Amino acid sequence: MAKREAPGAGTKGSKQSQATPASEPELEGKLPAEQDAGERTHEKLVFVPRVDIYETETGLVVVADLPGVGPEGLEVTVEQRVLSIYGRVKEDTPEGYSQAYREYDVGDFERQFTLSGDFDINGIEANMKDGVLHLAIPRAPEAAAKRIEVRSVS
Amino acid sequence: MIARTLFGADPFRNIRRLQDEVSRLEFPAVNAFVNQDGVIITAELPGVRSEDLDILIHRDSVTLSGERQTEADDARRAYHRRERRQGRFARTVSLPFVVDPNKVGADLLNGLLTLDLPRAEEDKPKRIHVKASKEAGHG
Repeated sequence: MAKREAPGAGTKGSKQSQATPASEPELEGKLPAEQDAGERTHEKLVFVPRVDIYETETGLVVVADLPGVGPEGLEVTVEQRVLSIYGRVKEDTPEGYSQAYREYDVGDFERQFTLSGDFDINGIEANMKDGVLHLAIPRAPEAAAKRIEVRSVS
Repeated sequence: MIARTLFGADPFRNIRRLQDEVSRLEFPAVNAFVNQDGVIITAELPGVRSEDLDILIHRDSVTLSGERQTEADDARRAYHRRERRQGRFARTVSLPFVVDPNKVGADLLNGLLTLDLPRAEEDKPKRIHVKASKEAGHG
């Protein structure tokens, strides 16, 4: 389940996801990245990090599990309202040892979200601790003042 | 690749899925690497602080227990997504040999635990030299 399948076996459209409630992911284990049309320059597994996204009075907070990603291996970008998180993870087989048992695969983490609403891109704060990324995304000031929350009951 | 083109799908997929189903019940998932002097175990523990992690070594088993950080006012929050796991965990892993608990090295960096478990001296295999007997020559 964890292995990323070779590209070309089928294509899926955009894997950007709206920051809205969606179907629950599997309970445990790592989430494999969906196949996409893009081809990578080198063979490496990619996983979708598990995230929590919640609203605060001032904006959104995205919390992402990125075990093995250090601050230097992390890239957070926003382009055309698409927030991208990419975390690089080093291969884990120690030198002089051979693999005896493997329950999880090692690979990079990648996930994208489309920000729906007016956010202050320049005000995004990123914080990395113990392999967990905290992103505070503030709403644009004028949007915060004018915003009327309409929530569906379902 | 050939299998996939022949059958349209990976024929071992269901078997692997079943294996995943079983291992998914246990947290954390671990990887193990060995050589003749010891074993290295790695585990992904995002959000677990070193003070919240307990490592217990007994002969040829290691138990990892602890708690994944929970944030304070969870209940009142309006969540769009909630995928990260929280709460207490405990897992015991059997090792291929007895380790020396005094020489164990544990490193928790960026949510990744690396346990260096050297094999106990008395558990290491001893090489017995067989002396060639000169008397049993061809005479």
